[in-house]
Amino acid sequence: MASKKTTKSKKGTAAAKKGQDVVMWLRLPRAMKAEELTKLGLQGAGCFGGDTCIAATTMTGDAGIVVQTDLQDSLKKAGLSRRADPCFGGDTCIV
Amino acid sequence: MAWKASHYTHLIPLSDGNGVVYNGRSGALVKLSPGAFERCGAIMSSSPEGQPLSSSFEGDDLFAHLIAGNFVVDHDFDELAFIEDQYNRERKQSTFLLTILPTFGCNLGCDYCFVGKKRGAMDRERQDQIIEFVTQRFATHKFPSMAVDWFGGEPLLALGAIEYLSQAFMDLCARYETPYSAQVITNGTMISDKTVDVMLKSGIDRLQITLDGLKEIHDQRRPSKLRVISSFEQTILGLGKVVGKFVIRLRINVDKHNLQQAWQLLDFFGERGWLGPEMSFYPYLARISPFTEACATVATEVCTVDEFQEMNLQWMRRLHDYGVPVAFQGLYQFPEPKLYNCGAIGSNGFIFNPNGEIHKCGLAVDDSSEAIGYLGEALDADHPNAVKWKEWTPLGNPVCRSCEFLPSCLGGCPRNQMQMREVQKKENCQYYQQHENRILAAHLELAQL
Repeated sequence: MASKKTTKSKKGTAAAKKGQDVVMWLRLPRAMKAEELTKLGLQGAGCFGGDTCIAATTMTGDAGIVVQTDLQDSLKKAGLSRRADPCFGGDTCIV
Repeated sequence: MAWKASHYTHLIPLSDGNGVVYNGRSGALVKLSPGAFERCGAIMSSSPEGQPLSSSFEGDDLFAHLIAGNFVVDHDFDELAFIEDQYNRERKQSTFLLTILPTFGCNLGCDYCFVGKKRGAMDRERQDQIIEFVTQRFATHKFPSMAVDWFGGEPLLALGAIEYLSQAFMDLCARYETPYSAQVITNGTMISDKTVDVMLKSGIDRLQITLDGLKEIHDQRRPSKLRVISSFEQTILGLGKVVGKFVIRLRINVDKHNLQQAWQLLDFFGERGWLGPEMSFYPYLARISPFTEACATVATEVCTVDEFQEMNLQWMRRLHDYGVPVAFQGLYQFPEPKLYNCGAIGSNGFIFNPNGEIHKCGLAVDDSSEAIGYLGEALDADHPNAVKWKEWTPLGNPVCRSCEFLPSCLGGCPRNQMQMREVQKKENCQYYQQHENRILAAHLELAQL
């Protein structure tokens, strides 16, 4: 699985010292352009419309913030299909 | 630019020391390692709510992620106004969502059925009036999609009506290039090879079938009106014909008496090979609640929200062990922001009962005084029953307006709020405040993310 380290920030050194600072994106808030994703260290090919994207998984322990970017592998791992259907007639409203 | 912590950001510690940051408005979700989670907490709590965060955080790598996920937002951004605008917009642009009761008739006599004691099936004239209604709506509205729920009574007692109406709906959707989907909410006892064939041809891809336990308890609670037939055995025969061909949402109604017996049912499904990653067979627990007067007798049988949710978490783990992909399945309550919360308050949601009444709420289909109009007559937009749904909004409730769970709850069932059903309202709040974040964490742990 590919991984990419984000651009070093002013605080990157401090973060690296902690050794385990990692951001794992599980769901993006919306469809995002590739440039936006790149800024976060994500590769932008796989976002599908703001639904339950898993854009990155796990990270290494020797860097500031690292995100991983193999979307398809992440989706497969999560058994993810698509966003849930809305309530239908009160019958699935468990609460 | 000054930033503030979003009112809808939740920091959820996980058992492995990592943490999850979830924003209910944007839906964004990130998992943070312990150090990052600690820093995130420090950032989010560094200023009183609503006040600008210190600009010293903006150089932190983590801050860019917090901005991207709307975990922090522009200090001038009015999140509540955004949600209110979105809610009012989306309810008007909602899916063309029809619930159709082709018959009130049913071959079972369940003591808790909320549809009550109505009788009668929908005749062809009524069916043609529905087609005319739908045709006129398509001529004057643009829908993102159309979805039909076949309900009853037992809808598969009226297979001809389903076949006839479905063909007309699919033709209209094809003409207007609108995606179509449909499901049947059925007791499962009427499923034959012919039924399967008709459902497949009628664009139905999902079935909701209900069991209350194994044979003894199911037959006791959901007796066949013919008495000589086990409704449980009939349903299992039916399931055998549809598992693998449709998405099956297997609803298990539970109360404080049969809650634990649901495990036996799960093992029963497992023994038949119905549980697995490719089966699209999703058993889920549903907490019986006294929704209407017709089923008010169950009030003393209801299990508590806490009891139910504890069981629900265990249930998801067992399903996961069976290979059922529960992670991120909305059916298992994975938290997601809603655009609007109920078909009844959507402009494009309608329910047709066999008598030709048009309703908004599925829980009132047996109450003629709740109808908003009648098939064959022009809908009166100013009808008081229609207006009350059109004008209802959770944003009128000060508790909802200030709640950090508003985006995924949106006030819960509008009917409960309208009718001031305090127990249900309290339980709804209890669920979100005490259980939603736990369920989110459980899903992530099951998915090993």
